[in-house]
Amino acid sequence: MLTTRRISSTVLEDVQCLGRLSSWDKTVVIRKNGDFDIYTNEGLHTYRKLWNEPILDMGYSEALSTLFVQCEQSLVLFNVGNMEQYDKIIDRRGILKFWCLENRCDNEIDQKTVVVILLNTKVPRLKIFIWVSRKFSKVVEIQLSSKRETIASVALVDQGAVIATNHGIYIWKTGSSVLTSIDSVVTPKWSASLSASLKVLHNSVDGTTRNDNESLTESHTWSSIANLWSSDRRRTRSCRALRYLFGPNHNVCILLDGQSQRLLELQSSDEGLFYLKALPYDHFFQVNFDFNACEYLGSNFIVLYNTSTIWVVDYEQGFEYLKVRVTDGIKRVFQQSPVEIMVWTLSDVIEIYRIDVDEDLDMKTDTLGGSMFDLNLETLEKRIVFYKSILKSNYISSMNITDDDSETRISYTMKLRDLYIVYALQIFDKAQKLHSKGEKIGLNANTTNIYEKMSYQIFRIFLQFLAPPVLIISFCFPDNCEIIRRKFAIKNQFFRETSTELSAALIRKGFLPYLTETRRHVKNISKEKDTYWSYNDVSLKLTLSFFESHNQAELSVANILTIIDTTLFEMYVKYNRSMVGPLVRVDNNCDFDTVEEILNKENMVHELIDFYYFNNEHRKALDLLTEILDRTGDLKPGIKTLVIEYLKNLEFTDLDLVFQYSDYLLEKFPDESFDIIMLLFLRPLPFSKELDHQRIYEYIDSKRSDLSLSYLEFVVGELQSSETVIFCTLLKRYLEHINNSSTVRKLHAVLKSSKNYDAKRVLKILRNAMNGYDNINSLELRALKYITVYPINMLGDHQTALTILWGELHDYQQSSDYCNTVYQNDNDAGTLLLMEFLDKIIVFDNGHKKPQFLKLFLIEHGSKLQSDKVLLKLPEDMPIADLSSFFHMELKKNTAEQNQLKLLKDILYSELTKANFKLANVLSEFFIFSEERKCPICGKLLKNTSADSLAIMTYRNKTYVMYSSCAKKLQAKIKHDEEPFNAKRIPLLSELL
Amino acid sequence: MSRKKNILKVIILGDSGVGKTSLMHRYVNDKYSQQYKATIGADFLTKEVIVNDDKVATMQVWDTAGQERFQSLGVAFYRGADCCVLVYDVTNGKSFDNVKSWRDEFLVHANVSSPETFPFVILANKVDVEESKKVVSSRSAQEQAKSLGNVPLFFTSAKDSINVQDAFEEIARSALQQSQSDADAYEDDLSEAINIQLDGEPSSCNC
Repeated sequence: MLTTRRISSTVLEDVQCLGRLSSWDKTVVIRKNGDFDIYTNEGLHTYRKLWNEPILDMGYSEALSTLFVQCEQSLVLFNVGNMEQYDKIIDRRGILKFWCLENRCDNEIDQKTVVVILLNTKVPRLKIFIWVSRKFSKVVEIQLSSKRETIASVALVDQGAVIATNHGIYIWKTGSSVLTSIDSVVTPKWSASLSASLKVLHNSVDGTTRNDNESLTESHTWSSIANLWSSDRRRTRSCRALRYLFGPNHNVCILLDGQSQRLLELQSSDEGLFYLKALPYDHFFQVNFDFNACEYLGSNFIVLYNTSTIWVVDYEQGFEYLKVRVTDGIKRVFQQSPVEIMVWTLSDVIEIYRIDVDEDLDMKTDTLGGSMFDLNLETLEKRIVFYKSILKSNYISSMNITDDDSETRISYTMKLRDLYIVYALQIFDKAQKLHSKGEKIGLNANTTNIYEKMSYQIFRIFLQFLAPPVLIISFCFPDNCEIIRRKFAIKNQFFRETSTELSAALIRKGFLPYLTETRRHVKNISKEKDTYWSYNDVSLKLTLSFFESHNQAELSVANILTIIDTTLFEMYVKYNRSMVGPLVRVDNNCDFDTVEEILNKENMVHELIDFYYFNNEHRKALDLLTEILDRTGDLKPGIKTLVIEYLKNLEFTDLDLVFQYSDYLLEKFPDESFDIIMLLFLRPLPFSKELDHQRIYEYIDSKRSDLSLSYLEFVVGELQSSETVIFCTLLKRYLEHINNSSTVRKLHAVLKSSKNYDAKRVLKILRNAMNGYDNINSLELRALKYITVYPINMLGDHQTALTILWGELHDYQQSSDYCNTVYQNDNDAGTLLLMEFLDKIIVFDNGHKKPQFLKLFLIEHGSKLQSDKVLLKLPEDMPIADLSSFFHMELKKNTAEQNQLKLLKDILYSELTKANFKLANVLSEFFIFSEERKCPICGKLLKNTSADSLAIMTYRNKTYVMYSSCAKKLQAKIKHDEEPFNAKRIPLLSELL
Repeated sequence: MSRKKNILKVIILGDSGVGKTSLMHRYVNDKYSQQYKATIGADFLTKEVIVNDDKVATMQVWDTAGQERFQSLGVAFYRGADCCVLVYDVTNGKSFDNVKSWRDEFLVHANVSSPETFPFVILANKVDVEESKKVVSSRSAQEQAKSLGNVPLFFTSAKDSINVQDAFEEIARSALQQSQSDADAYEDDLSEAINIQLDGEPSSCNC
């Protein structure tokens, strides 16, 4: 997958030491004579005789811009910019080895933590120097267990440093003076690699059926898989002594451990305890063993090398992507850039190799065909890991193929998708065949467990990469492809003969999320809404072609949706029945005939009724229900309720159908007509207000006249309907029974509580009703007169209302209440009406009652009217005693007003005193300043000149003395700042003219 | 090196303008804004909760845009939901009518393993308005809550902070119960670990 070419070769002389300054893209070569040769893209620059002691090693800190040079008893610090020595750390006991580490977090460079670790030559002791944000922080010393303990590798993590020695792995928490041994090491039960799981499945099933003919036909593929694990264990493992720590990102630290032959990741428990967890792959050391040094390259790539060969592999599964033989022998390998490595050869030559991608390499296939489906599993997995890694790294942008690398990214992402889907399908096929074979001989629980986990992983791949649904459905679930076979003439080669049942839990957790997510995207496409799929930083706007496979016949988006939805439906029926209802009730594209057939077959009546309802097949639904009703015995009440509930939902859309089936119910259950009508029409629904009430009323009236009145009351009372026809009909129905006191009460209640009826029409109806009575004093006529007051009031004709209540009915109390109500709503109109009422009482010809009414009127309403006007109107013969309460009230009212005014005056006076106090405080403010005091605005010396006066001003809670002119400017600025942002003042017309 | 946290994922659904965002803000920040601002896509707020007096959890309340139905929200949105809150506005009959549809849409999109036991809570919001403006009666609401499987129903007002706290306490309780019962067997087993010896020779190695 990767190729390399040597792009440069530089011969070095008398080399003592070599290192890379990665962020400066420089290579430093320290020669035996003390010269520092700096190699850059622009050439060579030499600093002559910089250090004359023997130099053992070097390290570099980007944050400190420092090159650390290790001598026998000292560590010398050079400034990288000019290579001047600026400090020196001396340890008389000698420095055996040192490490310079920087945390890899994305912080600003000057916030980084730098740690330098020195290992003492004579005693097993570490000296650790810490710099935080470029400032030296502290130094700590730590004892190692014995002199024989040697450090193999160190790495910095967020919590501190991880130190791998030949005795164990330790964590040193930043600043602490102890090393904590990490003793707990765990490994996952299951491999994360599907092909490794397939191998386990193969071993447990095929191990017992070795002579099976079918297994022999598969042998080609199996041998290729088996090769993955069959490492040549007889060979010497030079990686045994190696321990190498590296961090793919700032919160991940991995130990490549040659001793245990595992790759271990540092983890911390909920309690903050550290432990190592093996990566869920066991392939790496089975194929890579002949190396004794490593260099992490980035993403998933790592360089392994020995003295003659370099391998670039992925650190998880150890697939080899590049092998380079260096004839001169290898001393050390450095990463030069994401696409270049630098090799320091044994003959002191620096060789730079450029790494390129060659996608045609390693295309091992099982047949002669060139399709991805013909690639063997190893090749598929290797290519998957490769594209995954390359998309994770910054390799693509470093390739400089084009200015815009997004096309390459998209292309690699799509290849990765294809590879993953083919890989998953192949594994699925093989695993299912094995499982099917295993079922015949009796599988143990563990094998089934592996099979289910594999299937789950495969479904997650389908979901992650949104695999083409027709391909996946037909390949994985050929038994559920009836819809495809029946309705769509698809050229499809993915139907397979083998298919075994998967557990309901697996389908629910694995396959259904894939179907629903695909459904969502395809539905968005069908509605012409933008929909995207993302992988890493690639985001693709999806079109229908994304969901099609290359040899699939062309299908419309509606067809694909039908296939997905119908499959989803079938899966629900089979594996999660309670989801059938929700699915058929939401907007779906299920194939009508298939769903109808299956629901009928499965006797899922509720779901079928819902399905009919949401497909507007109401007659079918009702026919089905009534048919069941006709043939059921004990279930009749339940089914009857279902019919009624169904009909209720149709009242808004199809009233004729409601009446038709309501007739059926009334005919079938004549004794229950009351309940049926009540349940159907007299229960509130969210859309009840919008129904055709008149038609419903007429229908009920034709069936049950008593209930039709209840319906009218329900519409007017509960639904608060203001439909004139309904209101008037109710009125007419009530008027038929005006001799009944309860009906009169209802009439009062309806007219009093309803606010939106047609008053003129109501009044006309009432007057027509009154015309039918000859006896002017009949109770019915009086009742009607009282009732007419409501519409008259609504029309605003208060004089007429008063004439009826007082003039015709002589009802003082009702008249008084009426006037009072009018007065409460409108004082002016009320006053006029009250004066008119007073006039009417004065001319009232009942000499006995008149003084009583007058006295009552003055008590109740006297205070609302002007006393002088009232007094002028009162008859002269009215006893003064009757007026006492009127005067008393008047006096009380005036006194209250006077008190109110006095109170107001006192409050205002108190406010004035407060304001004067504040003013006096401001006027008494003073400031003492020296002759040198300057104005904070203009900077001139403050003088008490006649040209400009001084001002004291507070700005941002601080008081300043300044020139008045400056104070005005500052005031203007503050005002401007306080104005809304960017708010332009609109000029006035007068300013423009 | 991340640690697992007890996170309760709660999703709020309902028609546009029923007060989903207001309810969320009232509960999480105890604030209310009169101004209506349409939610774009989905957004979430978190709040530490103590359930059943002793269990501490972080409730993640996901707000959605009611204007759009589910199509714009991906699998990541629904995955791992522990409770779904269905909101309607007592002054808007249509929003009440749609509660059942929201429930169905959620079930289909969230791939709920057992819809019968998945916890839903219905919030009848805006009960602070005057009676004459209410179009959905309490009786209808109770009947619907019963028909959907005895779903807990709360009459709330984000504006006047009526019942919001009680409702979310019930939501937290239901969510915790669900999260404890919905462990994913397939994913858990992958991370199940066994002890090995670091210094010892790997048993499979013959070299």
